Formats: sequence, C-alpha cells, structure tokens
Amino acid sequence: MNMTCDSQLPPIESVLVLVRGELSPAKRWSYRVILVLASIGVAAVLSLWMTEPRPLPARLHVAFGVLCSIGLGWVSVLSWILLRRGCPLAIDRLATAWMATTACGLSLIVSVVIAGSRGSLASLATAGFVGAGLLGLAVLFLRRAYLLRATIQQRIQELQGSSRT
Amino acid sequence: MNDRKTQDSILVLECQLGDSRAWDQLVTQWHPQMWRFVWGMLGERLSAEDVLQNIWLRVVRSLILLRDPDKLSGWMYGIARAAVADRLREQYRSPVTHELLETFDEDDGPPAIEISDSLRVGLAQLHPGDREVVVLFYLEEKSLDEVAEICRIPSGTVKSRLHRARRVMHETLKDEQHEHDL
Repeated sequence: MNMTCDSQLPPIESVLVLVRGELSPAKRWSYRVILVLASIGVAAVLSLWMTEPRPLPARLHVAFGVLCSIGLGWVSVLSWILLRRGCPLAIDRLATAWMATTACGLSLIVSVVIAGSRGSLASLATAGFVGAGLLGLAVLFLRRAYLLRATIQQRIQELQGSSRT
Repeated sequence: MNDRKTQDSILVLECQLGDSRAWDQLVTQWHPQMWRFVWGMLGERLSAEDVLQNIWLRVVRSLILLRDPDKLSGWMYGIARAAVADRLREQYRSPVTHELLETFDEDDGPPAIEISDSLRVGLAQLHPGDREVVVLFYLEEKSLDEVAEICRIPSGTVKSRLHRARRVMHETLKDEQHEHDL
C-alpha cells in the first residue's frame, strides 16, 4: 500500500448512503407512533390506578406501579431520542411536535373519560389539570417547531433576494 | 466570493429544512475536504474512513443547531477536529503498533510515491496540535486567520505551530532522505 492509494478519496456513495439512511424518516416515525401509544397506555393505567374506588391489595399496587414505570420509561427514552438526536431537520421537529400534541390530547381524553366514569370530581379535576398542562407544553413545542421552520424559510428568501440584487 | 458564501448559507438552510437534494450537494461539496483533513491528521486509511463516517453522522445530527450558516466552514472543521481528537484519544489509551509503518512492507511503490510516504511519516511525527495546523494551512490551503478561527487559537499561535512543525518535518524528511540514499 502506498500513499496514493491510501489517501485516495473514498467513494462518495458510501457517505451518501450513510447520510440518506440517517435522514430517512421511517425509523423516527416508528419512534413517534410508539411514543403516542406508550403515552396513552400510561395515561390509561395511571387513571385506572388512581381512580380505583375500592382498596387494592399490595400486589396490584405493585403491578400498576410496574406497568406505569415501563410505560414512562418508554416515553422518556423515546422523547430523549426524538428531542436530542432524532430530529435533524426542521420538518422532523414539526412531525414530532404534532405527534406529541396528539399523544397529549389523546392521553387527556382517556384519563378524563376514565376519571369521569369511575372517580370523584377531585380525581377528574386532577386528570384534567395534569393532562391540560402536558398538552400546553406540547402546543408550545409545536409553536416553536413552526417558528423554526418559518425562520429558516424567511432567511432563505432573504438570502436568495440579496444574491439576485 | 461573497456570492459563494451566500449560496453555501442557502445550502445549509435548505439542509436544515429537510431538502434531500441539498444534503446530497452538501456531502458532495464537503466530502473531499473532510477526507483530506482526516487523512492528514490520522494518516491511516481504515481509521480515517471510520472517522469520516463518524463526522457525517455528527453533521446530520447537529446541523440543525448551527444558528449562523455563514460559519459552516468553521463548524464543519470543528466537528472534524472533535471526531479526530476522540480517535486520537482512543489510540493513546490503547497504543498499538503504528499501522502505517506496517504498510511499508505491503507494496513497493514508485520513487515519487516514496517521497509522499516520507511526507506522511513527517506528518505522523508532529504533535496533533501542530499536525492539525499543517493540514489546514498546507493541504486545505486555509489562511492563517481561518486556521486560527477553526482551531480557536490566536494567529500568533498558528504561526509558531507552523514554524515548529516545519522544523520537525524538515529534520524528519532529511533523515528519511539520508536513509533512502544509503
């Protein structure tokens, strides 16, 4: 081996395949769908647990706790992936924000329905308050995603305008 | 030149937005420069290819965080520097026989290439900080100010590193030539 072949530029195709694969939305969509399902699951289990009218045996408390922990674990890990490293594009942030808003909205509906049909007024208020708070955060995230996209589009237009003049 | 910078900025913004053609163009535009830098710093093909892929993964994951698209060049080299530094740290942690020395036995290149091999050995003799400055200044043909900005050091430090590197490389190449003559 010598320098000429050693330093020869590696084929660009391998890098393009790597980059295109990393940008492919399929994996991120699967994360988003699991995130929505896990959020609804956690909201349902938590609502059932908190609004149970009769005293539960200890093993059922443990089972509910384990189920909630698993669901929250999934929600945390997927949120971290999507927020920290899984949103390389403005359009991804928008999609993630929409899915988060959907997840929070559906979770709010599920928890309010369960709390309304089984629990007291206090548990209904708690479910509504917590759900609405999370939904508010998701809407905020959605607004920021739209803002980011609009800012980028505006800057492109400005630069294109200045290059023409 | 200014127009070129504007086009580069538009390219970055289109990538951030999610235009796949813009990503292909960014890769096509930066692939040779990134390779020259990484190869110049590591001097070993397998390792350099691995780091190159790592750089592109980092670029994809964090380009959205680049707020000022005018600073693409410094940002790209910043990522490349970090990836190379990680690899050098790994190598220092688990020292192995220098692979580039093994490659000399594998093939007999023509004399012109042997001079290039000498250059590679010369680069390998440098401290990574000095090597980085040499690669950016001579192989990448960046100005002193650009090198200073990329490496986040004053221009005076760039000059002194270049001076020291030239001295070390001169001695190394002289020894290489002497051995070759024998």
